[in-house]
Amino acid sequence: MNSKLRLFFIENAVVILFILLIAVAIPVSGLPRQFLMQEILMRLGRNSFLVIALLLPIMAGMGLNFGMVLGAMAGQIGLIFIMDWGIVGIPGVLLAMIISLPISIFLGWLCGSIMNMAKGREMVTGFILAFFMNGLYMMIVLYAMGTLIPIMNPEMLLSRGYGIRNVVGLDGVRQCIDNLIPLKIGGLKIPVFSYLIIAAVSCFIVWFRKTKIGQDMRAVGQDRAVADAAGIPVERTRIMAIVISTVLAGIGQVIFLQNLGTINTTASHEQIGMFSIAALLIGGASVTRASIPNVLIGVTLFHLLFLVSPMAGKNLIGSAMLGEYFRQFVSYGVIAMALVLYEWKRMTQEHEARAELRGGAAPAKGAKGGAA
Amino acid sequence: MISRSAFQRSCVVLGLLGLSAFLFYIGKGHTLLLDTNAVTLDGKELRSAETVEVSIDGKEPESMGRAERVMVTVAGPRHRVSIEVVSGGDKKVEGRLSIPTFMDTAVVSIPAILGEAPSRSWVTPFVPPPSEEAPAEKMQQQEETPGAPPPPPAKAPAAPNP
Amino acid sequence: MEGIKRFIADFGLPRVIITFYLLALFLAAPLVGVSLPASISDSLIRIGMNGIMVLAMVPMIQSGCGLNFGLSLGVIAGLLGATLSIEFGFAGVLGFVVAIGISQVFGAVFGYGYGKLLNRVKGGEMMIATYVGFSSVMIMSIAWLIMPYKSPTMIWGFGGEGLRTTISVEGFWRHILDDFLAVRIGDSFKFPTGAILVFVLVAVLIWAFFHLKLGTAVTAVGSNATYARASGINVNRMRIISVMMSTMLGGLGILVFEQSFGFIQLYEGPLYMAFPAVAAILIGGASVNKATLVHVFIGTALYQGILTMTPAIFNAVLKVDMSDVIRIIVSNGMILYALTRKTKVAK
Repeated sequence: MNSKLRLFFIENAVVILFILLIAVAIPVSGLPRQFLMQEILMRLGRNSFLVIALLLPIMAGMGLNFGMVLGAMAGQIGLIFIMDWGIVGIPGVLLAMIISLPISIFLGWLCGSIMNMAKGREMVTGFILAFFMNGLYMMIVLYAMGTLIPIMNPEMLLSRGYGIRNVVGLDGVRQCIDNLIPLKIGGLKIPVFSYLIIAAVSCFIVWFRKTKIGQDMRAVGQDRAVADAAGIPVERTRIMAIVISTVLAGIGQVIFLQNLGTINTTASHEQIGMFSIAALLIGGASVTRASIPNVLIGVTLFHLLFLVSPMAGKNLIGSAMLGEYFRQFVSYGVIAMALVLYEWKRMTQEHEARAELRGGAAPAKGAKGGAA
Repeated sequence: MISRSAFQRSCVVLGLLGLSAFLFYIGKGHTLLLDTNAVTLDGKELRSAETVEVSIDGKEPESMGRAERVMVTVAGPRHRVSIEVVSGGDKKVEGRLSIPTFMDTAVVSIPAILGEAPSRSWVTPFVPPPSEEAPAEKMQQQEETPGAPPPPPAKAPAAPNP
Repeated sequence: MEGIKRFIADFGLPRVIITFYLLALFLAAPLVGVSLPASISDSLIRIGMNGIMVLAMVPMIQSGCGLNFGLSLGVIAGLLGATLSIEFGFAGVLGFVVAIGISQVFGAVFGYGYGKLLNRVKGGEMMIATYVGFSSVMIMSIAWLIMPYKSPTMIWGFGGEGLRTTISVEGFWRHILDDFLAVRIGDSFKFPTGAILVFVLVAVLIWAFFHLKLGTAVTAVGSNATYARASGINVNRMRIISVMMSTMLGGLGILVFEQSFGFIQLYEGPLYMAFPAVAAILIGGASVNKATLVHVFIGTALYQGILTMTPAIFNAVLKVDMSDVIRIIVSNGMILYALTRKTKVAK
């Protein structure tokens, strides 16, 4: 019993650490519990989809998909178009998602192919690719839209006549998914429909894991060489994982922005990769293993930290920036830690495998020698 | 012949395109300008009553005088309009409005509906009046627009592609 | 024709394109009313400013630790040097030298710890470097807020808490290298002799190091770790040495940068400083596991040239400022290209 408890603590060290941290920070910040609960309920609905998008690449052994930002960009482009065309409400949101599909699929295919060219370095490559694509995205959104790409509504353009404005209000579709099925319990607004969507995509992931392609992905994730020997098209499966991840990220970004109510054309997507990855890791996932509970726990804890840090910092030292820097440090640090743990484990495994090989050879030799 | 998966994929794509068109149709937002100004149709002049209450799609009715314009935003092509004359007469008319999909802003003529004119004359496109800006503003606009649609910017910088 | 094709394949198509792009910009300059002497002068100043940070990439690439995305650690060492030097009241040449001295001490310490960490995670250095770098910048941000600095030029006015975000080095050692023995021709041309001299000097020192026994050992570790170990080289120690060198050079590099730029940037300033240096050395022809000084010089020149010329020309011709977007596309595209190349060296 005692050792089982110990194992539980070691396995879930990160989550437990964070719960303790937040348990201390909440009273220090002085924020009312009602406010925090409402915020968390809303943020769960808003952010979980994006974090779920990270699950499949982890399963396929490609690590943390920093390239999900590409999907977020696709989703934003979809939203820009529907705002331009004046499509409102649920049809608007749906149409934005549909528009993001071909873009996400293309970008996901591109990302997956590039990652295949850099096997063993997928995470850095995805990380840099996100920045690179950001440059292309800005090229399109700030220069091509309004010139090569016709924009019907001149109010969306910058004063110079082309390029989308920095901030695009999503008045027509603001909170339309959240409010679709309104529910209030004890003074707390609950975005029922958003939760339904998350439940639906979770079921999709669970079902997908059991399909042939899903099993292939898991095999590839476990051991590329073995999967290849078993006849699984490794390259294509990996690309598929990234494509699905990117598509989900696109849809997730639409859900995210619909709740926020505004698009910051140049910045909305930039941090989304880092936040989602940090949240997933805080929820107990690792570079090689992640599941739905990690998503939900992670989003809750990450956002609680997000909310209480500024005020806690202010009350402790007198500077809200302190809390903000601390929060960022935690986000970056948790990713760094997860990466270190992953590489360390990998190195230890390789080391043991090599030692086994050497150790295995000796007795055979000895036996041979003995027999002779 | 087309392979089975190519056929399936084409069906999905066509389905999505159809869905998109449908969503566009039912989701397009329109700005309706309810207008009680008098209109002339077929030589007859139709007027609104002194005060009327107009309700679109069962929402809160707007109280309107003889020559007013009120803005209402709706989504989709078909809407119910309910006009009740409050003073200066006694009449209640209910009708269905059909807004063409690509008409962003439409003028809905209340007198036309009240006067039971043919429904195709109820909705007319909105033409913004010629701008009456001060000359200074006009010059500022002119300066900004020349830079507007130069095709080269997206092509000129040979961003290296590995 | 075959020779040209082979040259392009070796040199890398992206680099050929970049070189032609830069040449085109320079040729276009006089035609569109951009002053050529001013542009060349600006480019030279920027090369002096950034060169050492690009040099900082060489040790770690050569030792097989990959691209040093964690250069921010070195930058932080430099920032500590700069701020402490000002805090203790040193100015002028002495101030600059003290800053360098302090930065090297911190750089060595940080580099040692950083190196030990990287030794535990062989194979995944680059990603971890990035996030270790980010986390340290954030810890330092907290530190800048609470450290007991007193110098009035550095802390927030009205008795605020902690250091300002940007601290001017005017009056301390601004342009101390740039103006040293500078050659001025006419109104618009200044050759920043001091900065270029320091750049070349440090480059020569690095070159000398890599031709010493220790340096060749580091290179051996990078090209074939197993062979190096078999030859009796302590792989881990060489790697730590390379990381320490890189971090210390980073500290020096940011000080040279600051003397030209005129400001010390604290808090989130160092967050992304590694990326231009990485892009520059890759543009110069380096790969993830091989870098020479030629790469550093060519790369810095090309990269800074593009950064200087693009906004100048584009603004003159199209009245559009696309330079930011172009910089993002070019630098990240270059890194991407390098990451996806097959490594030619056996592990």
